[in-house]
Parts: sequence; C-alpha cells; structure tokens
Amino acid sequence: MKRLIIVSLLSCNILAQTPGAVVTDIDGIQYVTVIIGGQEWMSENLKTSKYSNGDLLPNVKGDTQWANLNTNAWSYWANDSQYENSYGKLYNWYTAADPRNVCPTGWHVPMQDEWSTLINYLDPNANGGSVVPNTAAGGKMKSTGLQHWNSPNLGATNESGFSGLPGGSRNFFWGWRLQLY
Amino acid sequence: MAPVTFFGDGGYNYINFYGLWWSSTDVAEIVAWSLRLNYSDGSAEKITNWNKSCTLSTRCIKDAVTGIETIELPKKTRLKITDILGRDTEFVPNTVQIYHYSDGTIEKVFSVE
Repeated sequence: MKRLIIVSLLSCNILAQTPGAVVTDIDGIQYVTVIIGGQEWMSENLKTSKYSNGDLLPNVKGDTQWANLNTNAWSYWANDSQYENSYGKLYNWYTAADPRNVCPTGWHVPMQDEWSTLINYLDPNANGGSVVPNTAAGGKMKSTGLQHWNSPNLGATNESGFSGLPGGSRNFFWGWRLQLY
Repeated sequence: MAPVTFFGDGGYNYINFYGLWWSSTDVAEIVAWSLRLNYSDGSAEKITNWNKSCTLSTRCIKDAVTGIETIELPKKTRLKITDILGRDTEFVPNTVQIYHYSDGTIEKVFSVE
C-alpha cells in the first residue's frame, strides 16, 4: 500500500508543467511559454512580421516568386490568414537564421543541439532525435486530440506543455514546362 | 513550335500531418536542420533535408543565462596561529589552536603527534 502511494506521487511530479513568463514580440503579440527541463520555450508558433530590430519581413504570396527566393519571407499556410491563429506564420530558413533575430529580444530560434536537449530530456533513449522512430518525446510534445492533428495523433499527451501543432510547410519546385500539342 | 514556360510551385503541404520547426543550424548551403512531429507516431525527429527556401513553423527559445565568470580566488595562505584566547603562538601539537588564513577564514585545529 505504501509503495502504491509513492508511485502515484512520482507520476504527478513528472506530469507537472512549469509555465514561464508571457513574452511579447515587436508587433505586440503575446506568447505563452513553458519551462521544460531548464529550457524556456514558447508554446505557440511565431507570428511576428518584423525582426526584433524593427526591419519588416515581406509576405510573399506568389508561387514563382517564392520558388526563386533566397532571402527572408513569410507566408500563411495556403496564403490564408485563417491558419495564423493556430499555426502562426510560416517562415523560410533565411528568416529563421537571420542575425537581426526574428524572435523577441532575449529569445532566439533554437540551434539544433537545443532541440536535441529538449528531445533527450523527454526521452533519454531518443539520442537527440536521430533515433527514429523514437516513441516518447514527440508524443509528449504534441497537443492532444484531433481538432488540429490528423488521426491517429499517436502517443500525444502534451506532457511537456510544448503544445506542438501540425502547421505543415510550403515547399517549392521550379522548372521549365514544355507544352505539347 | 511548342511554347516553353517557366513555372514555380510554392506548394503547401502537410498541414494536420506534420509539425515542422526550424533550427538556426544549417547542414549545407541549401539545407538546414529542423524538427518534425508526426501524426502517425510519437517520435520527435530531427531531419536535415529541408531546403532553406521552404517555410516551416518557428518557435523561439529563451537565451540561456550567460556571462557567469569564474573568479580565480587568491590562493589561501596561513597568516598566523593563535591559541584559543587569540594570543599569537607557535605550532604546538596536542593542543587546540586557531589557524588564521589570508581569505579571512579561521580553523580550529587539534594536531595529534
């Protein structure tokens, strides 16, 4: 009986989430944050339209223009602003890595080893996300339910509070099309 | 002659299927690290095959506290020995004595010989 009580206390401890302080970006948009294993993360995707130094980020809509881009830009998924509330804006890497910093002052886009630290904290066997499939870390990072995630959203507990949502991506292809009659 | 036209496709994919987030770390000139969460399993996968021109979700992480300096403490040396009443004395075994050090600390010492 005694042992059962101890086990129950331990699992409560693991599930506890530590909220961080709300952070505000240069557009005045506020983000909920969460402390996971000593790191403090936004638990929402970024929505800013400016770098933290005030430089404006262009919204590129056209496919051809997009495909030729190797400078900073953002878009809504499918160019539709209805996706922003849940999924934030989508940014290309040139934006994410720009030294002008797309994140609020005092924050930054994570380096790959900071992702590894998070993954290993949630699943010590995941080897920083290089062992695939690792089965635990992603589930602890995904928001639960099927409102946003496609079925089965396997393993989703959001135990970490990361609240990961399936925001998708924008790819690009380009080439010359030969029209034959 | 058949017309040749340039096309670009900034196609949107994977919403409701994958959560994809950038890292600021690149792998090569055109590709960078990213993190993928998948609807069909519970894995958190770091993948390297995203072209830098693709768009993904972006999360921010708080800067780690930096600037913690290691201060080299001056080496602690023994300044003097006193007896328990504070009077200067030489080392005497089998007696409680007080060692006074350069960093302001003291030690009560009882040496057995």
